[in-house]
Amino acid sequence: MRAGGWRVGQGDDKLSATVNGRNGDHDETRGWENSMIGRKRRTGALATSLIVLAMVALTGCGSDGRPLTTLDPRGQASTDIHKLVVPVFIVAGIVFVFVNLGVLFVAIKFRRKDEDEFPEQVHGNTKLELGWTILPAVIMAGIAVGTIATLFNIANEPDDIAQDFEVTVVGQQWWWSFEYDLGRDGTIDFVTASEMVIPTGTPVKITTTSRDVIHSFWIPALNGKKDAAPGRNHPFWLNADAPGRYLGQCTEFCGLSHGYMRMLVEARDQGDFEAWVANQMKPAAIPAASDEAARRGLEVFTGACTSCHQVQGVNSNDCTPITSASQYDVAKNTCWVGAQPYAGAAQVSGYAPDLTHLMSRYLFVGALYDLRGPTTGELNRAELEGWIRNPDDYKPMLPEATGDNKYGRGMPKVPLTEDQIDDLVAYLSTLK
Amino acid sequence: MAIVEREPLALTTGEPSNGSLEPLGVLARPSTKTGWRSWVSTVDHKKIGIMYGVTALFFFFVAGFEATLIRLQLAQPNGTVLSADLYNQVFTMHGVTMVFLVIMPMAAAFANYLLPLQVGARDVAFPRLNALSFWLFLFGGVFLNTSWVIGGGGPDCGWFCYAPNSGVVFSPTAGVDYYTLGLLITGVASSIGAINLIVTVLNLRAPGMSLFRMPVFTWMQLVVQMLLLFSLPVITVALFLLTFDRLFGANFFNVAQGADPLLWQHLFWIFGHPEVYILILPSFGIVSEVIPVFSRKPIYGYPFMVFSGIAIGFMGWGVWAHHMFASGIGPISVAAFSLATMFIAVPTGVKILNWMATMWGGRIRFTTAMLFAVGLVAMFTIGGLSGVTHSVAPADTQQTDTYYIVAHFHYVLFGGALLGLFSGMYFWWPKAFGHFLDEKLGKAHFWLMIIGFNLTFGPMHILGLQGMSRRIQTYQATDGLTFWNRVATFGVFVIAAGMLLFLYNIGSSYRSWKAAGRPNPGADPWDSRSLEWSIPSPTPEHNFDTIPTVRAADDFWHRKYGEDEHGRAVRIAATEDVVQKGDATGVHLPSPSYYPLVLAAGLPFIGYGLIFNLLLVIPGALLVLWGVYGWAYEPSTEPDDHHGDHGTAAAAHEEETSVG
Repeated sequence: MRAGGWRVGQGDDKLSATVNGRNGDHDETRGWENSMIGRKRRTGALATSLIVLAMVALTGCGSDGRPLTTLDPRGQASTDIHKLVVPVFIVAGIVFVFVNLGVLFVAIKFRRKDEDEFPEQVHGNTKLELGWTILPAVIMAGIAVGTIATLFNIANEPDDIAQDFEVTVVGQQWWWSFEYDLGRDGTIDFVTASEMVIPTGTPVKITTTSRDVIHSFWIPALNGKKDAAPGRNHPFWLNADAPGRYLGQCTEFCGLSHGYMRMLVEARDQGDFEAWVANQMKPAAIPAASDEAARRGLEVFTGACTSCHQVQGVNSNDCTPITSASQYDVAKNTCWVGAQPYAGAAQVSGYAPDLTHLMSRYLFVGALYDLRGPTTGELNRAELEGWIRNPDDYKPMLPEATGDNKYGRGMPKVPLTEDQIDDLVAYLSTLK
Repeated sequence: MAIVEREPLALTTGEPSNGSLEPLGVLARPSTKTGWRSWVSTVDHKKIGIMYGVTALFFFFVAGFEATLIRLQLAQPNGTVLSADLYNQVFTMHGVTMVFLVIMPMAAAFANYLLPLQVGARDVAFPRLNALSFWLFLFGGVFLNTSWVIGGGGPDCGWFCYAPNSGVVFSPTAGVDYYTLGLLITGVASSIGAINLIVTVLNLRAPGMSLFRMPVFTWMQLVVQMLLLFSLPVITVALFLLTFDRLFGANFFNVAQGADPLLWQHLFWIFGHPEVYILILPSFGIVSEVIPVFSRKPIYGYPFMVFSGIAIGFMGWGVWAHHMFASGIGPISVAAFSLATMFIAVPTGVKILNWMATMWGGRIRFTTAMLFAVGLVAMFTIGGLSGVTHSVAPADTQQTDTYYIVAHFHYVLFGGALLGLFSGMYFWWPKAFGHFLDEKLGKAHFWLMIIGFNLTFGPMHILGLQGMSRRIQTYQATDGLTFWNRVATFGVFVIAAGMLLFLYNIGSSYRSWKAAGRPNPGADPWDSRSLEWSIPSPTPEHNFDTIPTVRAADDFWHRKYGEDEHGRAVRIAATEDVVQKGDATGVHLPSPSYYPLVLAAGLPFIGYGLIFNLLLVIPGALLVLWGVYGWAYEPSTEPDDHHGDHGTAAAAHEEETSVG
């Protein structure tokens, strides 16, 4: 089953009340929309119906069932953007109605009724034309003021940005990894894939970068996009007003499976978040001797998977995780296909998701499929097995090395027996 | 290479000055005026213009087919019409084809055909270079499209082909090489064409045709050619760097070697943004011709129309980074480009209002050409307004790379550029071919296009704001995007129906004209204003019997109409009395040549050679050398070759001194 349970801002009002004061902003947004509705009543009939039609088309359907919508902001930055753009949409809507009604009016009123009719030969009117040169300039100047203010407001880190951790968001073909730096001391403490967890309310400092081509990190409900480019570190931040799961999509075309490169930001209450961090910091436990299937699975894992995947406590000695958040240093990462360090690795993906706490996540395969039921938390065994059996059925990739593409990108089809797959899944299930 | 209208000087030895009339003795000049030889060797700006138009129309159907595949794939979630790999190739080629092989050459068709006529010239300044432009464009376009069949698929990097995804590591098939080399070839074509048309407009204007008496279409084309002249070198550099990266292991975009991937983006968009105006301004020019004619009024505020066009062209250089608001450039750059982008909306707004003011108080006749022109005013406005919402940089970080952007630029390029080009086709068809396109079918074509266009691209605004990214090969059922995607897919079939109707119209209009005994539409079927309507339809090969002397803007109109005391137009002369007869003889015109074709034919070989086997470069280089030498040793004009004389060379000889 494809990932389906996610809704933008699953946090309802009860939950939001428990988080911080940013809900005030949220209410203001609603206030904006209310005053908009009030304004509509005062405009002309046709203009009203046209704008209403547009607004219904845009917002009226609501965000229900549209996890990626930009029209239902749930964070500080996205709310600021929304507040800026709604008046611009209204101004644009008025101009649209004015011009198109004007065209319609002219087309009807000045139709030629008789082939011998000739109008007055007006060549122009400098004052009038200067007027309608200045008018749009004035409108644009008004829009410019709000734009510049919001622009710098969002570009600057908020004062209350989280001091105790930051996250480096790394794009690679075709999934995202999130490297947590607790204490903001430049050391990566743990790495997750596809899902990023943040505490509700607090703005989180983010650095985007890439291991191969340019990607773009976009959680529509929380903030605009920020490209993740190789060799560059782009500062960014976001927060979520309420607990919830906020879906995102890579938005810079990044090759074959670009459309399948998604990610999720989950906002949890502070206590939940801290518990999650504490769990992520632990290495994976070796399965108990009594759990024979998982023990066999671990052997399959170390034999077939550890050349790309990491599980802290299993193969962290071979595959040193990334060590620097401020400047992503590919040379130090020796966890490549075939465990061959490759100096030019910034050009080639080969590094696969860290699976240490796989079962603490809900989505997998580029955040495209449910790993666990969104409400039940039950393992989606069929698709996990299917993915291991034949990854290409789930997501087109280029796992084979071809020419200059020395290591391939994506999950290869590993020749495993059905028993081995069962054992492997049993082992992966222990990675809570 | 300029038009020679006098005999070469006789040599003192008594020999003719250009003794070797058949240089290298290989490709004799054809003397026929019909048949395929007359087309492949032509240097006539009108024939070249028509060939540009036909080729662009062909590629339009190719790109339209690709668009249909895209829409079929996206008609439902998890579409299986195309694989992800093929989808990436198809959307790349759709964009590349529409921009470089449809709209640009279609605008070039109009520029080639009309610019010499509108400024009162016999041809462009460099007729053989003009032919070279066309053949380079044709071969470049064909070369690009052969990537489908030779070499493992089309380019898969998007029309913008961002590094490093376009590098050989991430795009190992030859597709991107076809992109770089194909665009380099068509880029040469456009550069040569730009120089040619600029020189034509600046140097070959008829007596009295001062710059501010030129038709607005000519003005807009002049701005476009200037933009081409200065923007193409930038993309050429970028394409060269990428070619060297891919084929010869250079490291211009290799991040591991310290390259900054944003270099490509800056280079691409410094070209790419002026390119947007290169695509739209010709259509602005076309509707600025069509609207006055069918409103029976002069263009409102001619100086404002001209200067706003120049302003758009000029400011177009200062807004490129608005394509990069999310790319990681700092807030100061974002602010600067955001402001610049807002203010480019001003001259564009002026144009819209001036077109409306032109119609205001007019006596409007809604021919198909006028419908398309008014359609542009209405539809482009929508694209312009969504453009304003992009200039709000923080909002753009939500909108960029979503279907909201796809909607925006289709309203600009389809609702603007293409509607304008169709308007121009219906308007100038009788001038070029001597018969009308059927108006009833034309109006049906218009309505199908408008309805289909809005059904296809209107919903994309909504899809984009609802979070649908562009360039994704599919979406999920749970994204809530299915309904509007279905509507958009339905719309594309309405557009397709409209285009098939247009094709049918071309055929049936020709047949019914032939069946009716080829009635002539007359020199001036629409009661028009500019010089091309003062000569017979179809345009005689020599254009003007005598080069007109121009006394005002809209000179031809003022020959027909004066004004009464209320400022209303009153006829002062019958049209038949002020139009030329087209029967001049002995007009000395540039002679046809095969060498532009030969030269251009060499370049695809060099392209294939660079991709597959350097040995192929040899025949390519030989063809180029042959073309260059043959061209250099061939006089631009055969002294005995007269045009439009309908008679013997002797008769032509007598007439010669009286012309030019």
